[in-house]
Amino acid sequence: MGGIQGARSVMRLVVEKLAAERGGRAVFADLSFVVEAGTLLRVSGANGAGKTTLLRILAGLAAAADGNAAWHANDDLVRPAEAACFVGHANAFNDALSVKENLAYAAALSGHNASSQNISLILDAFGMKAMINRSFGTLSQGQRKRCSLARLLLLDSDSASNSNGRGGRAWLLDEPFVALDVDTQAQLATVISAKLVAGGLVIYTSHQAVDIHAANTQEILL
Amino acid sequence: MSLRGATTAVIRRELQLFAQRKSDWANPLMFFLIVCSLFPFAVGSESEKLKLIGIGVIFVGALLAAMLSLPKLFDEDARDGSLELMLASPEPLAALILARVAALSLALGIALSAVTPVFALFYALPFDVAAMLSLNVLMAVPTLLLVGSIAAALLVSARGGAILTAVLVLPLTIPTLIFGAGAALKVLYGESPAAELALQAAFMLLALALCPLAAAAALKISTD
Repeated sequence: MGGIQGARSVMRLVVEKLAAERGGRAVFADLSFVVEAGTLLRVSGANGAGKTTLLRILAGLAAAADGNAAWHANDDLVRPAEAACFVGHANAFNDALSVKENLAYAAALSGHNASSQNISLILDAFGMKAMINRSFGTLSQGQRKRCSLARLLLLDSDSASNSNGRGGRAWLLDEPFVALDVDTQAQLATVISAKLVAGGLVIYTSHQAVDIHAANTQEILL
Repeated sequence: MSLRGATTAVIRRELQLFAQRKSDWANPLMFFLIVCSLFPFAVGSESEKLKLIGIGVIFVGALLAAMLSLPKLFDEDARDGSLELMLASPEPLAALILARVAALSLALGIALSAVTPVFALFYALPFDVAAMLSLNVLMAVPTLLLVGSIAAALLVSARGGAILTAVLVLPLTIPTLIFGAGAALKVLYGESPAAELALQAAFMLLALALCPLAAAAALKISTD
């Protein structure tokens, strides 16, 4: 439990001389940067520059070819599984199950307890409350995307993380604005801003320029 | 505590999916029925001959039917991205895989062993032999799925993975096959099947202890 407790305190990401390969071909090398809590980091680069690969490495889903990326919480090292939450191109929802069942499963796997009340509260933030019992396969692409973004809030909604008011898990968002309508883009931008104000750390990739209100921003180009 | 939460969630989801999609359990059962009912037509109605081949046919049929579910173990999750939830979970991956295989074994093992005595009627097998066969199917299905989870993990989202999985897994199930059918044969000859049963159980426990660890390692390699 100590690690999970740590994940709720101030986060810091240190990347040193990171290199990645995909299918035996180097995608990027010698990448070093530091991101502090409360910062919004945008990763940009052409198709195939390794943006998704970078996020997957930071999330602990892929291994780096060289160098390392480490999450710190108050100077303690935290495992990526406890430090970050990754939302990628795939929605990570099963078509046959309802939105609620899918979200409860995702929360339980990351070590959180999601009450139905919590789930409906969070879906409300993305205007999806009415869809809570719909099976995921019957939703439109945009609605699906909203559900997968709702997953982020669910992991932060744990009462313990609210009570200490810190930033919670870092968010790693791979092209979060794709397939969203203008209103939802604005909603997501608001949610990200709120996360940053609370001391969270957000890393995202995007081709579009989206207005996100943030005090500290960083950008790296792959 | 949260390990229990995570494994419970995995089991619940697996059973929800089973309830939601009838084809998950109807397809293996239909396949099992068809395999078992084709043989008597080919072999003829001589009851002594049927009794002898029946045990083997039913056992192989049950294993093949259980194999049909193996690609479902990780492939669908890899496609929709939910496999990443398992991989990114702070809980040990082996425990999550074990929970998943346990849920699948529970549902499929019970279903297959429940219909086994019915299919034994096709082969004029006495009731005690049918019951022994049914018990062995119940023990063999978890062994097969546990061993199979390693192959399924290695071949996740690989092209032609289903056939390759079968090729990799079926040879490894030979011991289970020998002792499972052996136990039923012993009962048919009026001898004690205790040794075969003990070995069958030993294989299941060995698979239970080792396979989830191997499958977790394989899954990490194949999704990297």
